[in-house]
Amino acid sequence: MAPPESSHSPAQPVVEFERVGLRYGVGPEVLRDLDLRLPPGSFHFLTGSSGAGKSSLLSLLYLARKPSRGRLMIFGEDVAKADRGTLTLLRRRVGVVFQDFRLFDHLSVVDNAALPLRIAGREPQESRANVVELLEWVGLGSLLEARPPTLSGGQKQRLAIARAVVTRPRLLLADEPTGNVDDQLAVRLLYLFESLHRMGTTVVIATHNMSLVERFAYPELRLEDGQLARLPARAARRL
Amino acid sequence: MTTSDATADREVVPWGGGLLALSRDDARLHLPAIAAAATFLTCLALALALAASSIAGRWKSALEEAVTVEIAAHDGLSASVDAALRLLRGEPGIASAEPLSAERVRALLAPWLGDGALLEGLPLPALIDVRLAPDARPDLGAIGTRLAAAVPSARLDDHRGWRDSVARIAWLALAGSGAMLAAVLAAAVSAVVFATRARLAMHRDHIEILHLMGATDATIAREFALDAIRLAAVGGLVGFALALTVIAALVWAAAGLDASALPLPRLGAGHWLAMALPLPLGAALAGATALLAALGALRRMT
Repeated sequence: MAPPESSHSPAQPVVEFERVGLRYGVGPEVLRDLDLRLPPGSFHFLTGSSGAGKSSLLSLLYLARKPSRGRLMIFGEDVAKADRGTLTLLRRRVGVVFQDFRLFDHLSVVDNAALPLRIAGREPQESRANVVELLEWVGLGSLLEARPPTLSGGQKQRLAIARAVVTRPRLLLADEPTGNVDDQLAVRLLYLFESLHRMGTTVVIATHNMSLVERFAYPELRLEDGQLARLPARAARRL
Repeated sequence: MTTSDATADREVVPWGGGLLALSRDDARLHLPAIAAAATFLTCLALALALAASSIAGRWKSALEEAVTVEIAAHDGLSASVDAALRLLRGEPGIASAEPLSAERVRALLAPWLGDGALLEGLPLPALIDVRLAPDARPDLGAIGTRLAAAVPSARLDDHRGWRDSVARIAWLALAGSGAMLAAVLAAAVSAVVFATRARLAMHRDHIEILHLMGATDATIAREFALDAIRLAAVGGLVGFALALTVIAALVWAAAGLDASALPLPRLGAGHWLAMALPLPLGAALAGATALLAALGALRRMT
């Protein structure tokens, strides 16, 4: 049974891990004994060396897989016990920026960005203007009818971000969202994430870009060898 | 044009393209080919069934409208024929009773005995062609008994053996067509299932993203179903056109046959309409099969 939109109280954590472990098949655990609570409207950087498990942790958050053990609650729903209908509704409240963009080459820029709205059943008359406005904001206003293969890496990155935020998700996850853009645009994109955060969206950004982590004073979730450490904002640490 | 004007114009532009790039995969070739072959065979099977049914119906009807009286050759054959004719013409339900001329009897026997001296030397029986009144159902058994009493050498043949054979042939033709239809349907359904699964595998990455964006299985499966309907309709049209060409050629070739040996089928507007049914039904079946196959496979995905 799908949860009603209101089943998650505003005071409840958006994400709650209790001794969560994840393994692929019969391999070793890539994530071990994770305990974590992300309150609504929080902003976190997820850091860690390559292979530390950042993408695996994000895949749990965007509901691509279920934990091998422990309890993972998202919007108050126990993911392990959620049926397909519930997972579908939960996923509509999560925006994801994939590291490899995962754009649809056969769709135009505007149709790629509008895809989550279309899936949610929104009519173009209702939302097309907002999609165009968002694309103009991320600097793709002149490329609305272009196809992704004709875009540069940075343009694809911005399109992936526009697609992730177009529904104003309650939880926004981004895997290296600034990996293909210059520093100036990276900062601008972080401001976009920050503005969504200010509107109440819970944001988790996986990044290797420590200068951004330094610049934006948000707490850091550090993954090392499958285990999680929660660190305060770097700016606060310097005090 | 101002920016707001441009934005207003864009508001009425629908979302473009399908959720998946189904128009770019190899199934665009396979599914129409399968649909064309299935529609072609289905139309031919239907035409065979309809023609067999038409032939059997006409033959049976012809046999039911007439009976034959045979009087064995003997001295006084002519008097026996007259006596039989008197009795037959007085029976209710009999429209006419006419003796066949000796030439006509010889012509009927010629295929078996030849038309040479052998036939000339043989004592020939007399045959009376009896026509029943339309919609009359006289008791042929009772007439036969009365006839045998009046003319002991006479025998009434109501063609029951032929009628049973015709009915059996018609049933066999219908059963054969039914079996052919079932085989074609089973093969077509299997082919659509495998093609849909192959397409799902081809588009697996995009399907996963759609799922992660909150697309339901039904939304994704509908994409495959609608595309299967489109492809089956295109292939079906080709198969239907080919089948019509073949059937028209067969009808044309059959028109030159000796119609006295076998009544030719008469295909009316209803029959041609029935042969067009595989077109919409095939497209609907392809869509339903693709929908169910996709739903089954999607449930096993993320």
